[in-house]
Amino acid sequence: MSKDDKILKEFTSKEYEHGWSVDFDVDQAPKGLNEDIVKLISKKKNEPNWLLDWRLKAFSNFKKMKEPNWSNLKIPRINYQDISYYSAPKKKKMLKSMDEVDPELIKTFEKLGISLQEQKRLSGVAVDAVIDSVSIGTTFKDKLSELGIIFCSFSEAVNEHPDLVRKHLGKVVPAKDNYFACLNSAVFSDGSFCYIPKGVRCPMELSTYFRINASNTGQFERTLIVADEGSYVSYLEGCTAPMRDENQLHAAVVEIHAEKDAEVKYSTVQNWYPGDKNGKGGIYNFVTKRGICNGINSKISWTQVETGSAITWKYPSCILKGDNSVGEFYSVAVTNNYQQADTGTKMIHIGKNTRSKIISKGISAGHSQNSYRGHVKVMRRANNSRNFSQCDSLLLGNKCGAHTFPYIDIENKSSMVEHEATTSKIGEDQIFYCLQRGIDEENAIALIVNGYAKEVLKQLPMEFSVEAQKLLSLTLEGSVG
Amino acid sequence: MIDTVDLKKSISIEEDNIIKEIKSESLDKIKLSYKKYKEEYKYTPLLRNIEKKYGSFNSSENIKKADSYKDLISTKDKHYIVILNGSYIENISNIPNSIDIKNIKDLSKNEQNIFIDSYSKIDDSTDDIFSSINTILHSNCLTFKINKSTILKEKISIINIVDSSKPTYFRKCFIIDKNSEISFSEEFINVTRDGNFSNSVTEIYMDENAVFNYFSTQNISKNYHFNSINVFQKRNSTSNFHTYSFSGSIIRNNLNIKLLDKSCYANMYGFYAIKNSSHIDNHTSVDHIDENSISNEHYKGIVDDGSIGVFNGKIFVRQRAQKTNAFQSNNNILLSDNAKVNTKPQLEIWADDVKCSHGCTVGQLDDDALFYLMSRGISRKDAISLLLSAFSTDITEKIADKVIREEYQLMILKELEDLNYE
Amino acid sequence: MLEIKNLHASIGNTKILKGLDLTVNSGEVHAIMGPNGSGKSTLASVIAGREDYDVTDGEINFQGNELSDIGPDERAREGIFLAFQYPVEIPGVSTTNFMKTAVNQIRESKGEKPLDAVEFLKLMKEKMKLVNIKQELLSRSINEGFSGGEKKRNEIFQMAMLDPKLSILDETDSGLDIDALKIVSNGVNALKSKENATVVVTHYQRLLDYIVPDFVHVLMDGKIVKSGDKNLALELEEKGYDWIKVKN
Repeated sequence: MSKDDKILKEFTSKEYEHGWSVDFDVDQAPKGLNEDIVKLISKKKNEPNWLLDWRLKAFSNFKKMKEPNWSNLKIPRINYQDISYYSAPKKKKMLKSMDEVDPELIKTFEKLGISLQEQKRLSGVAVDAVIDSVSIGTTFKDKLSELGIIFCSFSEAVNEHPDLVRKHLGKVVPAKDNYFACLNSAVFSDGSFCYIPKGVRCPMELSTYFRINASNTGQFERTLIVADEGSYVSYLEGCTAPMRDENQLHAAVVEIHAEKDAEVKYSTVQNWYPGDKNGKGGIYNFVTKRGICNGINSKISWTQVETGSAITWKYPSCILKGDNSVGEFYSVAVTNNYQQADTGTKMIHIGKNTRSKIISKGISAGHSQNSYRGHVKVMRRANNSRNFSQCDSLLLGNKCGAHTFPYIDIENKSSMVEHEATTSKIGEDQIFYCLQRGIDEENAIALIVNGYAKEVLKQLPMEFSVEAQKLLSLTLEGSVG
Repeated sequence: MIDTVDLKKSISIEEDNIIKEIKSESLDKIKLSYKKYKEEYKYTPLLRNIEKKYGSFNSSENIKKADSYKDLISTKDKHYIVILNGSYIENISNIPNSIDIKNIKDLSKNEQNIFIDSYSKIDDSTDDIFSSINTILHSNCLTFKINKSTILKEKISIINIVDSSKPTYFRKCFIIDKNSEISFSEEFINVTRDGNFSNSVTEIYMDENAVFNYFSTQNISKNYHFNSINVFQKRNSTSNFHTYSFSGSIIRNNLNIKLLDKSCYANMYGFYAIKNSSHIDNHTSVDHIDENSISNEHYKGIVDDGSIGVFNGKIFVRQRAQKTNAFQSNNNILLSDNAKVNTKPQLEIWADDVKCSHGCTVGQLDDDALFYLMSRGISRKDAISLLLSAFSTDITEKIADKVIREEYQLMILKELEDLNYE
Repeated sequence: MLEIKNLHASIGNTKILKGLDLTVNSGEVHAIMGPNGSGKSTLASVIAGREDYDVTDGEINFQGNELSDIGPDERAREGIFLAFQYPVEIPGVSTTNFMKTAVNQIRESKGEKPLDAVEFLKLMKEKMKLVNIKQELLSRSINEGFSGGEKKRNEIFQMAMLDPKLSILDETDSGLDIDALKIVSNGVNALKSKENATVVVTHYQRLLDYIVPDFVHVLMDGKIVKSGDKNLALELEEKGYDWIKVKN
């Protein structure tokens, strides 16, 4: 038996760290999906009629659509009638400040390492905390509003900034874009909204923290980020869920608008519950994320560290419409046990001199399947566009799979596109080198894997980068003795 | 879904029971292959075009005498095989003694059994609807048996003649016995004034230690052509495929290689230089099933003037196929604004101790290099051909035989002269 | 400190070591010389615990412990250090990070507190001087794009950081020019003490001008066929390995 086999045999699944749930009073809609539920959600949120109509239209489209089946995923049949589409911690009245938030909820987030008390935060990160279907509070709102930055829950934005929301909602990800985006459009319950005014550089990281708590619920949040001319924002997203035997559905939509000279950096550390070591339970993470570089010289950069979820289906994309605009995608996706991931990006070059860069690092262990799927399209008028893609896969063990599906469609003769991909395993030489220096196998693998993913990890804001490195090691812990 | 009435009719009149059974199975497979059509033919609307043009897939028999095609045979090769609308024309062919060519129906039961396995099992009709249709509608399956330890250094040229106003079907099945080494080149010639649709499926079964070299030249403007080559390789065998495409309304090539055993080699090289609204679609797959095999794939293309170049390469490495090395690369040059390239290199890997990589590029002629050459007094036109032929060198230099290599290099030079660069 | 008795080792079906004996005491420097393919690097790897090799007979004792059931990381923590002939590249992992992980894991195994960032940096600065290595090199991915000399200096730097009891230098002189060789040798000599020992595995005598051995052993066909003092190395250099072969 080779050394690697031995190492892998000793691989036992590490228990998920955030697998607890908390009992607090919840207001939960009955199971089932129908027009009344859509109306109920809209009513709960005191939404204006235009939004209800938009939801209903999306729902009627949804009924006509079929689940997509082109991905390299085995998705068990989902019973959409067996899910509750709204669940919210009960609140007695409108909250005026974070101090009024139920202490139980604040404790919940502290358990996750997220402090909602502003004075406790050392570095400048403003957090919007979302439990199940609703936002329970947003920090640093006042400080941000001095600069004209709007950072609040989606529901609040609908009521307080209806014109901004109406102008941008569904413009990058149309309601009937795809099956899961359409479902989200009908039943989304909350999420974050962010607007950075002209010429403002957001002084702190904005962050949304998602937590699924209730059972038998799905989570359908929606995030909308609008970066006006010459503005800059770095946005972070984190998520966890309790350990449950059932599969829970998470179908989110993120839309980003970057106007002239604006830059948006969107980072995700995805750590939904992945299911147990036999593949039981876990979140189905079916997410549509897309940004448009509307103005010239605008830039959108996606960074994702995907370690959780039973099934991940997501392709954060950039539509490079403005001339000289830039799209970037940095991804580390780790799958272990029976996890499946089909993730990647789309870069659509429409404007002239547009640039895109794709760096994807897949790591598969256990019985998992990990696919990169990407689309680079250069339209006919996108003169002098450039794309570079590097998609690497690392295999730990011979029961997992690594797959690469890049689609490259080029219609412009002055453009240059390069795609490279490799698949390999961790070198026995590398492991032995570490061992010889007194580092045990588990740490050796963590060290090598983190090195392998470094190009992506260094894109994350400092605080997240450390968390992500720990998470990578944790996900693979036990994967190597 | 396509209309299957004609297909069913064709099966019902089949007299040979075994073949009838194979054809019926293919009819069942059509549903499956049709399902995959949308993804597999994402950039190549062949089905729609054929249905529009003919309304049916049925073929027709040829009526002219075989001798009247004699003038078409222009080959430097000593040995050649002439096939007309799928039927072997023995009296104007010239084959070496060591090869036996027969229609599968004319084989003895014993001989037939040898072929039936590869004939029925290794085509790609679960994946490709045109393969399924070929299996049902071809009337002659030609069997080529290369006996044990036959070594033929000179290549044999296969000349396929298309003369029909309806779709034509070509079907071949090769068995290359142990320790044999053989080379074929193949081309299709259309003698009708209008474009035609020719559908060709070939199965190649290579026994241990066999070496098979195959050269294909495709220059069939106005014609639709489907060509599926399916290869099964046993231990220590080596296959070398060289595909050169220059024109065609739509050409679709499927090249599927299964490396069944340990220590196989498969090399796939392709070059396309297309213009005048040609459409070339190369779909390849190599399936590493057992340990220690090596596959190399390199396709390069120059796409000009309203043409579309499609490349789709799949590498599969199964769980048992440890120590596999698999490499794949596709490079394209776009010469004009209304040309397109769609490329999709794919890796699907289930074994960990492997070295696999793929890469692809789309770009243009290096303007600096062009200027450099012109500054030395070389005309723009010559400088362009020089640079483009240099681009093709990676592919032609993979032809081991010097005589054949030079033949193909010359052919490319001639084709490159006609390309435009704005 | 190190006692090897009747060591037999093979890789796959190929027998490489065929009954090797060697004793190394504290404070000593031993040189193992031999022609290509004689088993020198195998010996180094087997002592360090590389699992590609099967030890089929014999034993290795290190400070009184038999090593056969001990993994390479534990051996390293006990104080065995191997300077690799071909140091391995680990993309994305800096030497600094690599060493920090190693040093702290070794400390942890001894029940010591891990070094914090400041303490670690201080230790590193001190050891860097030994082999004249620059901080910039240490923050790059380990061995990736290093020159031959940089790789070997980095190995000796690591040796200094880990302060081993037994250092095995596997063909450390290969690929070095004379200046690099001097730097590396000076580093090794500076680390020498009464408490530790060094085994130098080499094909050429050249290195032994700088790292002077107390004992020289000739390894041929999996066995030590001749032992002597440093003069044996000079004799070998002059007469070649065939001289031994003929004598046997």
